[in-house]
Amino acid sequence: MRSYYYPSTLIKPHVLLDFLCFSWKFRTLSGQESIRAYLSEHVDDKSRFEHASPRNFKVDSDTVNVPSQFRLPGSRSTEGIQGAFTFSITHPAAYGRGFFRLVQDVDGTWKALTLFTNMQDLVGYEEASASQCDLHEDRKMTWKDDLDQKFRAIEADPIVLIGM
Amino acid sequence: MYTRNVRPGIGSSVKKLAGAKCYLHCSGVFSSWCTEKMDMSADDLQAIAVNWLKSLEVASSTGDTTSFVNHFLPGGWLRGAFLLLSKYTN
Repeated sequence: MRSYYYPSTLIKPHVLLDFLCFSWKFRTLSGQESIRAYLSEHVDDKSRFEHASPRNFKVDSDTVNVPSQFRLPGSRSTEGIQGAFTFSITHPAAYGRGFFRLVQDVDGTWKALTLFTNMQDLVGYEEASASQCDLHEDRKMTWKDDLDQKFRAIEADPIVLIGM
Repeated sequence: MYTRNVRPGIGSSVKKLAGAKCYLHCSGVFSSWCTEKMDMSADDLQAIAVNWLKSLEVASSTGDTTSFVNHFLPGGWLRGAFLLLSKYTN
């Protein structure tokens, strides 16, 4: 009997992991019914799904997460497809990024095993890519090289000289 | 394109998986475990991902929650596959 219960507790199919796209909460939902119930909740006289209105789904081919194959946990050969994508939502107006893992159902149709949706930037308040590189954007050197250079500059032109 | 070699789980009836080659395993005894192997090119993977996202886009544009949720794997199949796999590999 162990083999009958172990796999079902090992992996839960069809999971939606949402960071701030459908509500101001981080939510993890498993099962079509719980996902449907959550997205059907009413917000401003609309369902949560209609309110967020996700659209413009595109494969994110610019990242390392281009569509690739993956092997399911506990399986030696069953495989699916995983990859990143971008999208946008209406309320609040924002850009999102996500990740999907698809497997085939009994009819051969690709279905989501897991779907991750993440609000990336509010429209009009996008984080500048330059700021992510801090002060070292133009220096093209490692932190160690940067520190070494800083120490050499201080020792070459000391502000205080302590004599023994 | 890609090829799939499948030995499907067989109960009282045989369901032939779409695009798959089916085999009976063992003499007179139906195998109850399945293996799948897919060899797909980057273009195949890209096409499948694009098509799935397009379908998701259509579902989103209608505002129909059910259509969106139908893009998730229905309960049971994956669990069933794992049950069958583990029964014969443990």
